[in-house]
Amino acid sequence: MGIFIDSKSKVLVQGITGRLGRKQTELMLEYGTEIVAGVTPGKGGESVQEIPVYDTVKEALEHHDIEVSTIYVPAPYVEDAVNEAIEAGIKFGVVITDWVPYQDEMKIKKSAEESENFRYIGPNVPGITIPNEIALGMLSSPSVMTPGNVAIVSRSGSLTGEIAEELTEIGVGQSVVMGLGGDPIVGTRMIEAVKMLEEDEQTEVIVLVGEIGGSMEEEASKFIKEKGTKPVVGFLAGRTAPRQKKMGHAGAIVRGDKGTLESKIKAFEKAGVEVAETIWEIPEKVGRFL
Amino acid sequence: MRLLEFEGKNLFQEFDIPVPERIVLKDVKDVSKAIDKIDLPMVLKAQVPTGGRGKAGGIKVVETEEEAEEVVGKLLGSDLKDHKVDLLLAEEQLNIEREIYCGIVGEDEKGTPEIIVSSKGGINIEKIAEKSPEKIERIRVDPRFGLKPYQARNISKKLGLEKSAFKSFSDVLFKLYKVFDTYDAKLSEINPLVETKEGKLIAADSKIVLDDHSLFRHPEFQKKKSRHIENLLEREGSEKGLNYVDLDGSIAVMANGAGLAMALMDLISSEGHSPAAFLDTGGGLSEQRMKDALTLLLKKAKEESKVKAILVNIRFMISPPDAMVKGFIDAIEEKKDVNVPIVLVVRGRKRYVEKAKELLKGSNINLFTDIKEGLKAATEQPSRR
Repeated sequence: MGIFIDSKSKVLVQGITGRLGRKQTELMLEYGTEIVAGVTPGKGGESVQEIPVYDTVKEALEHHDIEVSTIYVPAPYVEDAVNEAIEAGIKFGVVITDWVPYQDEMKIKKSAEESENFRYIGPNVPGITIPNEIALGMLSSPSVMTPGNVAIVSRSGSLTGEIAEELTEIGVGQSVVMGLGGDPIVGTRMIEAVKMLEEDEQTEVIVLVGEIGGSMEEEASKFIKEKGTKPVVGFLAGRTAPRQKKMGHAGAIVRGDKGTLESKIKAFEKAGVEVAETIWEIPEKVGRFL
Repeated sequence: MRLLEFEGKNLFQEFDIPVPERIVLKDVKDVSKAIDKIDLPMVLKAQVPTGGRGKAGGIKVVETEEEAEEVVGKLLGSDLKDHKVDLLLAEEQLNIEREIYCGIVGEDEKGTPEIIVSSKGGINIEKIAEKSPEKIERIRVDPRFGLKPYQARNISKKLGLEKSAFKSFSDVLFKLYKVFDTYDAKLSEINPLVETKEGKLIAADSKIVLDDHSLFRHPEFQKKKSRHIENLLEREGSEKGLNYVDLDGSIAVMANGAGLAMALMDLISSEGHSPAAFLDTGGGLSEQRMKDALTLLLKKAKEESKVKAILVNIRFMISPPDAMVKGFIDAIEEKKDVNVPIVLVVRGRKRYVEKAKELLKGSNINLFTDIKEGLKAATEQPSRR
């Protein structure tokens, strides 16, 4: 098994009949992802791209062997959908939806922690892709990614694809390309992703894409300093962002000294992470380790 | 969104948390109403969504009606810490025995609500937290079950309050959690919670930050979301669901993603230029969203001639470019009096990039598929002045 998933993973799409769910199902299938069922309450018995739709996750799991779910349900229903997935026995969830209420995110996180068998990335995440094997979410464009040994882990959705594309353009492939989500409370934090990548045989170099706000980079740096063995290249968006201004993501707000760019650069440097000052320096710095 | 003090106190009152006798003033004429309701001396407090109001001169104690009128006249309409004062709160003056702190805040790392209390409340709470953290008690609770009365009692016990104060404090804390939970807050705080010489606990201030993502559950606040944004372009952005930040440089930046837009700004700075605006269009490439976004930047360029270019970077992931192109063309058509070069970099899903190129053939948008080239084209534009 790769990071969370591999080419054999059988996938469920929650919210498959919505506009976004339909479109992404089509693109994921095109990429080769094995989607076996979809769920939309009230639409059981229908089909999308010849994929059967069920009313409940439980029902879908009675008919199919499924471990992974991608979740596109509208923000007000995300908490319910994730809990439904957990209780039905899904092992890994990708929560694409953005604008999920903050307190719902807290509740999801707690339920996931308690279940022990369930892990998720997101909310507000572009997805996760193992190039040429499987794509969950929006990172499903074959021209952008190519198989290789560099893992990309990013808090920013749009930068995830951009950096993968920059690497692909110079012939550097990726072991996995994944978003963590731009919200303050996410299912998988940077440190947890790094721990998994340390164990992943395919991954030789790790690229961490952070941004101002929050404490994920500082937390991950501690682990890298103490236990990291693989080379890490770090990039931080928001060098020129003014303080106290919310730059899009709920996570990207600087409070006092916590979460500042300086604090994150310092943490990265102390941990021996190679810090790229612009996105253009990333391919070059990664290249040095290959 | 941050609530004003009196709005927070209204929520407190809804949950039976004791609050001072009070009335909101909009005009000097309202002073007589205040005098009827509240005994002198009374406290007049500017209602602006920021801390440090007292130090900035936004909180005054007045002894007479004349003095009240003078202070109200002076404060209303004035600028306090970058906010215009439209409302004042007149309140009874409390006989303060001591000030206590209690707050409930979402803690991002673990994703749990954290209950924070201290017997040393007041304006120096941050200093106390830093210098004597032992004077501050914290517990985390399960967000699914909330704060239980016994948990409120346990943490209250640690403050060393006398018998009656202990009971009423744990009661206030329990109710404060109800406010946090019911209104989907990210923060609900009483600082100070005053213990009066008469032995009562009263919330002398309120600080409540609601979660913008949850406002669909609280429609009474939904339309107030953008009211405290003083910059008009930023307010328009917020109303249209765009993340716009007004800046002072020469190149206005827009991208469909906050990280991407920030990275572009960083590139502009590293090339010795400075960004004039940050705009993250957020989710989806719908025609309306794209039109609104570009229109906002065109307005910015119209207002400020030092904006010499608009640099847009769109990454195609799942949406085809048709709607985006239509939105852009519409915006340019409607604002054709603004003569500013638009540089568009398109990347991502290859067939969408090709489609965008085809659709934009013959338009006056400068199109690139390489960020470096787009950046160069934008920064090398001559000044419009």
